[in-house]
Amino acid sequence: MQYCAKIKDLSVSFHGRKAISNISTELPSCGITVLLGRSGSGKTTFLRSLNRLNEIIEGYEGSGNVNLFLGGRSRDIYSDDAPEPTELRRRVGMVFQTPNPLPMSIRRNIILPLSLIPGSKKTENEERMESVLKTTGLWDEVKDRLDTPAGRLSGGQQQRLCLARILALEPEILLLDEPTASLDRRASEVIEKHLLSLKNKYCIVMISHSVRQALKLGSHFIFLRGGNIVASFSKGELPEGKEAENLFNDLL
Amino acid sequence: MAALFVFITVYALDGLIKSPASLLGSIWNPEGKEFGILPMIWASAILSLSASVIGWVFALGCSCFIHGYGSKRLARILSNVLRIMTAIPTVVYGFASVFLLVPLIRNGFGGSGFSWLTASIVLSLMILPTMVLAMDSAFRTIESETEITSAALGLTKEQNLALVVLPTSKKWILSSALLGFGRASGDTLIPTMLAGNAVQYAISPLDAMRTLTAHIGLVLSSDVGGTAYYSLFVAGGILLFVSVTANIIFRMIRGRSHE
Repeated sequence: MQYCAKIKDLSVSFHGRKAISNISTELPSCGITVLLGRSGSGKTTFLRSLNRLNEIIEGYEGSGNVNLFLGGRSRDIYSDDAPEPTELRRRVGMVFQTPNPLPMSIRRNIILPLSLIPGSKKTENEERMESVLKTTGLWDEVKDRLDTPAGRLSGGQQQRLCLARILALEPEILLLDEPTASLDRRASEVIEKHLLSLKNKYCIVMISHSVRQALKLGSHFIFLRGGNIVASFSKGELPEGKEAENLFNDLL
Repeated sequence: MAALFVFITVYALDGLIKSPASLLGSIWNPEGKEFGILPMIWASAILSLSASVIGWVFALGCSCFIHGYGSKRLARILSNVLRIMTAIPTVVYGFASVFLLVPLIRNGFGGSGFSWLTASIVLSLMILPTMVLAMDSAFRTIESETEITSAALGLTKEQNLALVVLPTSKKWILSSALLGFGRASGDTLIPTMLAGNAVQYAISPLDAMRTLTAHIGLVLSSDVGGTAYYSLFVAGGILLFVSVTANIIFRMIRGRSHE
């Protein structure tokens, strides 16, 4: 199996309090890896250590290696050879639990991060914006009001905008922190449908709050408890139907 | 508050109706029954304007330094210094400036040193913390909402400040200028102590000037009566009108930015 990430002895603490300790695991490059665990189990910290986002939080301390397969080769993102955090975060895109459009227009939400990439061109950026809005099924809904504030969209639309915004940066790895947690069922289903269509193009690592959603989307599962990995499975190793659900519930 | 408003307005109008030519003239000569306050209106207007412009520019600089362009340690020091500055009584600014800034201006640029320039500098320093704190609270709120999002999109802290926080807090930045203008136009001690108090239309930054506030303070502390007092009510009325207007505009801008 090919891997998009190899993690070795990863520990992270904030103000001296351990959030995750000595995690070693490998994440497959195809399909969706789902992280499961109760709140406080270290899922978000683990996810954010893959794009070095923990570092901007005060009191951060970390150790260990995270090797990501980027641009055709494996690189330890915490070593001196690593890309700059700003570049890394473009290549390892993240979508958050609550939709978080920036306080600006729909257009600018997508164009602003793109325009900061050295050598980016205005016309190409506009084309890319249209293309990602079509990928996330938003284009027909927003094409006539691209210059209105993004905050006026519905929650589901905002989350699809956030997904589009990150896809526009053409990342190689996608990190999703409970992307449907704050949405109603219909909006969640739309997002889930888009994620399934993306799973062969990107290495996706996703936190999910629901066992049912995890089983529906995931091809690899990692369970965390108290900052440690307590179990991991690939889809083939799971029992059929209701039993898999029961197994997952027992592990949570 | 309403009583104060009515009181000042009635007396100011009374004065204006009884001797409009004398009150709205350019000459202040109580012995000759001339009570013109136009030079004072001019002085108040240009002093508060210049002080708030200087103060606003520095306040914006300080706020940007605190929120991204400065190192964490220096930012914290600057922030604390500004907080301490709010607690310093105005008279201390005036007193210290008479001995420190006035000789500097006198020796460096000529004149007596008591001038529009001197008062502008000290007044801008005095209103600086108020403006910084107003901008700071807006920056802080927006920054806390956008910091992680921006970082996750590959923006640096500086880019987030320049491209996300500043444009979003535009209304707050503008309204803090009004806040500073309001405070500057109402201050009495700084212009009295540092602007020279000559009744004239100050044109050069080195000219002495007498503001409306300084005028009220000076006349009240000396013995003149009659129309001279009417002139004070007119002066007070104008000040009240300006500060209320500035306050209303400030609230309107703030109110709209909440939507």
